[in-house]
Amino acid sequence: MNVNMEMKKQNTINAFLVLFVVHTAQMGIGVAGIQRVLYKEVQQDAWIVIILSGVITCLIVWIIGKTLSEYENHTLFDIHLDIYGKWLGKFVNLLIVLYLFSVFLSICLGYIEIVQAWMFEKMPSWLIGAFLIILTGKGVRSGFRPIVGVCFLAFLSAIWMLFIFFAEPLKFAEWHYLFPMFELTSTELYKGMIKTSYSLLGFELLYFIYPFVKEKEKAVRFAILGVIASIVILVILTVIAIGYFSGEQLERTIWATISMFKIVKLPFIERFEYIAIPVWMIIIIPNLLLYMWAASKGIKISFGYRQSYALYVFLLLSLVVFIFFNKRLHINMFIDYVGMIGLYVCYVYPIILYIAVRIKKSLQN
Amino acid sequence: MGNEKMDEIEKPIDVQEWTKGITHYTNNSPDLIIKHVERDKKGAVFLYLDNMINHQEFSMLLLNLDQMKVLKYEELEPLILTKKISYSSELLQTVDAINTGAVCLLMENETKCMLISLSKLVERPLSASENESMIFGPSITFSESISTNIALLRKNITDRNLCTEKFLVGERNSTEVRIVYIKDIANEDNIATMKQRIQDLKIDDPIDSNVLAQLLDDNSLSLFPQALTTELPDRVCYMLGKGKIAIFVDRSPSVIIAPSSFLNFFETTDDVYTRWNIGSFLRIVRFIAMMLSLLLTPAYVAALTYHYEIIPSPLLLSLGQSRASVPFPPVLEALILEFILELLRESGARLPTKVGQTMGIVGGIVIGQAAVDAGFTSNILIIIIALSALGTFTAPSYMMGAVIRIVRFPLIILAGLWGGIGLIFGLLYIIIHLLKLTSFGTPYLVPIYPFRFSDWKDSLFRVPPQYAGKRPETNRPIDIIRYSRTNAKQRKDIDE
Amino acid sequence: MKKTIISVIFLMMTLVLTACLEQYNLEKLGLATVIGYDLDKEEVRATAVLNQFQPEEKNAFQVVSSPGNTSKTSRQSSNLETSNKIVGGQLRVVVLGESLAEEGVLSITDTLSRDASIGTMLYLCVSKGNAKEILETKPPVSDMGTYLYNLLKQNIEGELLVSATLHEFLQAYYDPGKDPILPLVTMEDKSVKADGLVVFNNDKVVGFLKGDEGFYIKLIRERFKAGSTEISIPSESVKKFIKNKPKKENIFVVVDDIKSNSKITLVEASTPKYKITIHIDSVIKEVSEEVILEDPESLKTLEELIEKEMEKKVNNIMKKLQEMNSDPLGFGMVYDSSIRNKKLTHEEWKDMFPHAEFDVEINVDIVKTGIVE
Repeated sequence: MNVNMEMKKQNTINAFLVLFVVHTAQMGIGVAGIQRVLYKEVQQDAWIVIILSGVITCLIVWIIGKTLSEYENHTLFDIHLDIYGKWLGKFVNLLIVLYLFSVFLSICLGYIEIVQAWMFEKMPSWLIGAFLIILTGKGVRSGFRPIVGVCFLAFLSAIWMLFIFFAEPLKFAEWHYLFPMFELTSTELYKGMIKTSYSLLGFELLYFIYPFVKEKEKAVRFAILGVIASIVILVILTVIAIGYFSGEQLERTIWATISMFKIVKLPFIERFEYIAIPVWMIIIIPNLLLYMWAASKGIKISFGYRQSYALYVFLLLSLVVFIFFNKRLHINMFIDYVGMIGLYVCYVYPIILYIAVRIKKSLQN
Repeated sequence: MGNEKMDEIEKPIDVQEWTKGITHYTNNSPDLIIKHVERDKKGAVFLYLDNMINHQEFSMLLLNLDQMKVLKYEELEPLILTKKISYSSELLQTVDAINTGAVCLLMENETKCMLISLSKLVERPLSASENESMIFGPSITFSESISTNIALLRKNITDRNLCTEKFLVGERNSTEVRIVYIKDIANEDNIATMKQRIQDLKIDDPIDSNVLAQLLDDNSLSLFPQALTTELPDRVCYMLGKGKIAIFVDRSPSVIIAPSSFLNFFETTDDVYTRWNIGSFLRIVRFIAMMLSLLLTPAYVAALTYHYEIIPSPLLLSLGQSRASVPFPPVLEALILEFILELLRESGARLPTKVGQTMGIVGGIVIGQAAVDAGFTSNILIIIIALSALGTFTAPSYMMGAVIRIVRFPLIILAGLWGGIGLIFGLLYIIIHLLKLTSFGTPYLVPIYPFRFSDWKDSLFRVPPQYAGKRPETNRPIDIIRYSRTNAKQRKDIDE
Repeated sequence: MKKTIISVIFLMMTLVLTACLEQYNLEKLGLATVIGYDLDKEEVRATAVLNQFQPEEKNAFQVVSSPGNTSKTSRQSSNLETSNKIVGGQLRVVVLGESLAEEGVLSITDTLSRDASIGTMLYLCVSKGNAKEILETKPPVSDMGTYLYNLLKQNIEGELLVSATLHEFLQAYYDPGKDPILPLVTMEDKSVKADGLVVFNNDKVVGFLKGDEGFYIKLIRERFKAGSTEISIPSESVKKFIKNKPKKENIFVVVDDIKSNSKITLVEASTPKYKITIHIDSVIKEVSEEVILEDPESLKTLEELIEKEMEKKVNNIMKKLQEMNSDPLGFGMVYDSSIRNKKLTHEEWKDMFPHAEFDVEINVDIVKTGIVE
C-alpha cells in the first residue's frame, strides 16, 4: 500500500476548523424536528437521552481518531483497500459511497419537504432540488478548502438564530413540563438513542477529512468539541421545545424548531419562520457539500475515475430522484432507512474497523 | 573568446545607409530631422523626432559640441553628464529609441551610434484626487508619468528596502511596468507570482493599469475585482506597509495593489487618519451599507410577491396603498426603477461636471416625484432603491460599488421568481464563489476565511494602533512588527 | 468553464420557463385580518373582514360571510364574493361565536394551526352573541381587524386580560392538566369591548369570569406582573388611621402589582391538595379615604386586610372553577410534574379536579405609596 502520500499544502486546513466541519455536518434537517421524535419515545427526559448519545458519539469519534492515526494520510477508502484487499475493499467502498450519497439525498428531500410544507406548497420538488444541486456542484468543484470555508461561514451566519430562542419562545415555556426528571427506562433510553442518531450523523466525515488536517494530533480533540457543540445546541432546543409545547402538542408538531420561530416578531418582520426556512438552506449546505465531496472522492480513490465526473453523475442521479420520488410517505421511509443505516455505519462499524486495523497491524509486526 | 567575436562583428557603420534606414523605419516621418555636422573633415549626423525632444537641452548639447576638437563619443560623453546615454549598433533598436524621444548621433568610422535621451516630459501637473475623495490626508494623486509616480512614491517612502523592479510589457507598444514592494515586508512567494505573471504576459499593449490588473487576475470571469487600483500615494504606502505589492504602469495614474482581499476594497486611509472609534464605525457602516444595498430591493420584491405574511401590520397599509396603483408586478417595478437609477448615474458620469449636477436635480424630481404621482412605482420602493444606491456609493472602491450594483439585478430576479428561497440561493452562490476566489493565490475572503482573528483588527475594524502592532498575517510578512507597544507606552498608575 | 456557464444559463432558462410559482402580490390580496366563526344551523359560518388596497381610498374594507361544513369550504365560498384572493397570512384575531364555543372549537383551532401561513401569535377571543354581528359593526377608529387586535393587545400588555394567543390555547388544550382561557368580547350600544374571560373545559366554553377575577387568574398564572385591582376594606377595621370620618361603609384601595411571584405546590397527591403561595410587591395607587400611610403600623394593618380580602377572592374563584370543572391555572400540570411514573390523562384529571383542595396564602408587601405622603 502506498503509505503516507503527501498532501498538498494549499489543501490542508487548520485543526480548529475540524470543529466547524464536524459541527455543521451534524446540524442539518434533524435539528428541525428531533424534539417530536424523541418526545414520542422518552417524553420529558429527551434531553438526557441526547446527552447520553452525545457521550457515546464522543467515544466513537475517539475510536475513529485512533483508527485514522494508524494511517497518517489516508481516508477511510484507502484504509478499506488496505485491509480488505483490492476487490473486497472496492466493494465496501462502494457501499460507503452509496451510504454517503443516500445521506445527501435524505437531507435534500428533508429540506424540500420543509420548504413545501412551510413556504411554497406548489413549488416542485425538482426545482428546490435543482437549487441544492447547483450549489453542491459549484461548491464541490471549488475544492476542499472552500468547502470547509462554507462550513465555517455557515456556522457564523446561522448560529445567531439560536439566540432568538432565548428571546421569545422561552417566555412561553412552562418548566413544569420538564418534571419529573429521570423517569426513563432502559428500553426507552435505547430506543431514544437510536432516534437521536440521525440528528447526530455527520461526525463520520472525520474519516474523510482527517488527511487534510495540518495538526493531526489535535484533529480528534476538535472533532469532539464539534460534537459537544452540537449536543449543547440540541439540548437547548429540546429543553425549550418541551417547555414551549405541551406533551400532545409536541407530538403533533413535526418541525418543532421551526414552529417555535413562528412566534418570533421583529419590528420589521412579522413572521420569523419565513426568514428561518431560507436561512435553513445555509445550515444544510455544509452537509450537502461534505457528503457529496466525500462520495465523489470515494469513487476517485477506489475506481480511479475523475472526481468531477463522479460528481456530475451523482448530481444528475439526484435530480432524477427529485423528479420521480416525491411522495411524502416514501420520503419519510427513506429518511428512516438512512437513519438506521447511518446508525450501523457510524456507531457499530467504526468499532469493528478499529479491531480489524489493530489485528492487521499486529500481524504485520 | 568574447572579444574575438566582437571584433568580427565590429565594423564601422555606414552613416548614409543608417540615415536612410532610419528614415525608412520611421515611415518617412515629416518630424524626423537630420542634421549634419562636420569637424576635422569627420562627419556626424544628428537624427531625432522634432516634437519629441526638449529643444533647450538639445541646443545645450550642440553648444557642447562646438567646444570639441575631435568628434569622438568618448570626448562628448563627459560633457553631457546629466543625460542618459546609451550605444547601439542595431538599426531597429535605434529607431525605437528615436521614437521614444532620443537623439541619435552617428559618426563616421564608429562601430555604433550614440543615443542621448532628451525626451520631452509630456505630463500634467499633480492635482488633487477627484475619483477617490478623502476627508483627511494628502490629496495629491499620481499622474500619467511613471517616473513622476515613482518619484512621488520615493518621497513618501524613504525605506532603504523599497524595491522598484522594472519590466517591459507590450509586444507592439512596450510599456514600462514597475513592481514595487518593501523587501523585508512583502512575501517572496507573492512577488515571485507577480513577476512570473507579468513576464508571461504576451499582449500588444497593456493600455492602463486597470487593464493590466484584469490580465493578471486569477479568475477573469468572476464579477468581483481581484486587485485594488488606487491613485492615492498615501493609500499605496499604507498598503505597502501591510505587506502588499504595488504595480505601477506607465501612462496610467492608477496603481494596482495586490494581493487584495474582499475587505481591502472597503478600507480607506481616512479610517486610519480618524480616531479608531470613528474609523471602526465607518468601516462597519460601509459593510452594513453593502449588505443593505445588496438585500433591500430583493427582500422587498420577495416579500411583496410571495411572502406577504412577513410584513408587519403598521407597514402593511402604507405598502399596499402605494402598491395598489402600480400596474407592474414588484419584480418588474424594481427592475425598472433600478435601471432608471443606473441610467441617471451613468449619464451623470459621462456628462461634464456642470451639466452633471443638473442631472441629479432632474433625476430627483422626475423619478422621485413624478413616477410616484403617475402611479408608476410605489413610494416605498423609491426609498428602498435610493437607500441601496447610497449604500453602493459608500464603497471606497468604485469597482466594488459597481459590482454590488450589478449583482443586485440577478438577486432581484431570483427573488421575484422564487421568493426567499431564490434569494438565499443567489446569496449562497455568491458566498461559495467568493470562498473559491483567490487574488494572486491569496484567498479572497481573508481574514474571515481562512480565519485569522488577529487580522480582524485592521480589516473589519480599525483598532487603536497600539493594539494592532503586528502587520496582517495574511501576507506572511517577514518583519511582522510595525509598532512596538512596550516601547511606546510605559504603564502608569493613577495620578502619576 | 465555458461549458459550465452555458449549462448554468441553460438550466436557469428552463427553470424560469417551467417553474413559475403561484404569486401572492400584496395589492391583489384580500387580507383577512379578523375572522369570526359562528354556528349556523349545523354549519360553520365564517365571517371575515378583508383588508383590500385601493389607490384612492385609505381604508378599503369588505366584510364577507358564508357558511360551509368546514372553515376551509366556507373560506372558499367567501372567495366568490370578492375581487381579491382571500388569504389568512395576516390574520391577527379570530373571534369565536358563543354558540360555536359552547359546542367546541377544536375543529377551528386545528385548522388554524395546520395552516403554515397563519401565525400562532394571533389572538383568540370569544364573542357574546354572534361573531358576525361584531365584525359587521364599524369601530370608532380604522377597521374591525385592527381595532380588535389593538384592543386585545393593549389590554393584554396592560395586564388587564390574560394572554390568549393561538399557541397558548393549543398548549393548554393539549395538556391534560390545563384548560384554555380566552377573553370575552361583547357588543354594547354599537361599540365593541373586552369584558372578562371565558373558561373552557377541553374545547367547550363552560363559564365566564368577571373582569376583576381576571386579575387573580393572572396573579397565579403569570410569572411577573398582574396589573392592578381594586379592593374593598371595611372602614371599621382601619378607623383609627383615617383622618376624617369615613363616608361609606367600605373604603376602596387600588393596588398595583409591580412584582409578584406565585408558587403552586402539591401538598398531598391523593386528594389532591395544593398550597398556593403568592408574594406581591405592590404600590398603593388610590385610596378612597385619606388614610395615614406613613405609619408602619397602619401599613401593616392595611397589608393584612388586603391579604385577607385577596385570599377570600382567590378561594371564591377556585370554587367557581371547580364547579365548572375547568382548570385554566394548570393545577393538573403541577400534579403531573410532581407524580413520578404516571401519566395523567384528561379523564383522570377531570374526575380529580372538582375534589381538589386549595390552601391559599397571600403575602402583600406595600413598597411604595406614590409620590406624596
